Amino acid sequence: MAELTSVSYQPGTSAVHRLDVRIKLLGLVLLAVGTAGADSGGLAILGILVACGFWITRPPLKRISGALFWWLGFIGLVFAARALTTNGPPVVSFGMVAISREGLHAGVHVAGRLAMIGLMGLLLVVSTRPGELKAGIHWLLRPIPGLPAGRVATMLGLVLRFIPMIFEQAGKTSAAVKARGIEQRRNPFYRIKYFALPLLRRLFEDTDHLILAMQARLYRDRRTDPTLSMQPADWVVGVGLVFLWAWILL
Amino acid sequence: MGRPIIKIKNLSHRYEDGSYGLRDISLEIDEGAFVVIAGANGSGKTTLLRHLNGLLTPTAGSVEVDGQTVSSNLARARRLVGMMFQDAASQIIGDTVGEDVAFGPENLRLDREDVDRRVEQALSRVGLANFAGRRPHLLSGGEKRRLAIAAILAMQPSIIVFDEPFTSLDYPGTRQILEQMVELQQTGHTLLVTTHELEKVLAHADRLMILHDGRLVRDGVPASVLADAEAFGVRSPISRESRTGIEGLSWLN
Repeated sequence: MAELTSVSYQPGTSAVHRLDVRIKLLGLVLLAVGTAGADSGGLAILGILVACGFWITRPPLKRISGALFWWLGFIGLVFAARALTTNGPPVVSFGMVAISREGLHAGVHVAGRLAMIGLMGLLLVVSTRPGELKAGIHWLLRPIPGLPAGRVATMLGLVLRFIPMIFEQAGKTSAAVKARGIEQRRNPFYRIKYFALPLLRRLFEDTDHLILAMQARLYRDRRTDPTLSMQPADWVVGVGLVFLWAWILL
Repeated sequence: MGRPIIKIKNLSHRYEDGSYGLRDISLEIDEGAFVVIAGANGSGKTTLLRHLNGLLTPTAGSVEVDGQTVSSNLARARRLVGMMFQDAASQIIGDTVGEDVAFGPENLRLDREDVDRRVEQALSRVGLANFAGRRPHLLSGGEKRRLAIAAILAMQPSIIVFDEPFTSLDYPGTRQILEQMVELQQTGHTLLVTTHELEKVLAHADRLMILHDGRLVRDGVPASVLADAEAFGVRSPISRESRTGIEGLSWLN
C-alpha cells in the first residue's frame, strides 16, 4: 500500500527536511500570497524555486503524480476555462471554439498560480513530520488572541494523519470493485455508488480503529511537542524568502 | 505468583442493540501471570480486554486494575494496561517507526529527552533499533506487531494485553512475537492473550480461560481446562494419543 500513501511525510535528511518548520510555514504563506501578484517572471522564478525544492527533497514524484491525478485534472480544467472564455483575437480555433493569445496567457497565469500553491503545500507535507507541523502551526497561531491555537494545530495534525488513510482505503476499494467486474458497467452512477458507499463505510471503520488506538495511548491536545530550534541556515533561508516575496510583489 | 493486579466483579456489557457481549464475569489475575483467553468468534474476548483500559465501560459490575477501578481514573488504567490490537496496522499512528513509538510518551507529557530515551529503549528491546526512521507501513506483518509492542513498552505498562496477536502471521513472525511475550513475562509483566490458536501459545501460559457466549465457562491451569475446550468451539491442540503434553507444544523449541 506504500504507493497509495505517497502524499504524506517521506522520511529523509535533505536540507528541506532539516529546515525549521516555522520557516517552511512562513515561506508557504508568503509565497502563496506572492503568487497572487506575480507576473510571468515572478511565476517562473517561483517555479524554479519549487523545482529546486523537489530536486533537493527527492520525493517519489511518479507515485505522487499518480495520487494527484484528480488535482492535476482540476488545474487543467481551470486552464481550459480561462483560455476559452478570455476575449481576444483567436490564435487557434476549432469550429465555434476559439482560443486567444490573451486567453492562453490568462490560463497559464491562473493555472500556474494554483499549481505553485499546491506544489509548495505538497513540498511542505512530504518534507515535514506531522508532529513538527502541528508544533509549527501552534507556534505561529499562539500570538493571535482568542484563538485556541493548540486545538487548531491538533485538528490540522489529525487531518494530515487521515489523508494517507483515505488514499489507502480508496485503493483497496477500487481494487475490490475492479476484481468483481465493475468496469463492465457503463453507468457512472452505478460505479460511483458501488465505490463510494463501501469506501465511506471502511473509512468510518478505520477511523474508529484509529481513535481507539489513540485513546489506548492517552491521546490529548496537550502533548510533548517536538523541539523547534532555529539554526543560522534557517535564518538565512527565512530572510531570503522575505526578500523573494518582496521582489515578486514589487 | 504475586498479588492480584486485575479484579473483575460481576462484569456485564450490553451493546447498543441490546445483545450481551459479556455476562456476569468475575475473576482475578495475579501480577506476573501469563493468561490465555480462548473462545470462538463473538465469544466476548475482545470486549473483555477493552474493559481493562476503559475503551469500553461496564453495563454492570466493576473492573479494578492495581487497586483502583478503571472508571475512576482512565488515564492511569491506560498507562498501566498496554493493548495490542488485532489489526496491528490500524494502531500505527506515527509517520515513522520512531515517531509512532514516541506517541504514547508524548501524550504523557514527558520531557523530550525522556521521550527519546524511551523510544530508543523500546525499539532496542523488540529488535527494531535500526528502524526508527523507516515508514511503518512498509514493515512486514511480524515487524508491525513488534512495533506495536515497542509502542506499548514505551509507556512502561505493568499489564500487556494481546488481542489475537498471531492472526495472519507466518511461522518466523509467530516465533518472534512469542519470544517477546516470554521475555515480557520474565521481566515481570502480566500478560493476557486472546486467541483461538492455542497450539501457538499454550505451552508458555500458566492459566487458560474459555469464554462462550459472553460467559466465563472454564478457568484454570491449561491441562485441566483443555479437556473441555472443543465443547466451546476451541480446538484442543493436543490429541488424545499425544504423549508430549502441553510443554511439548512450544513453537520456541
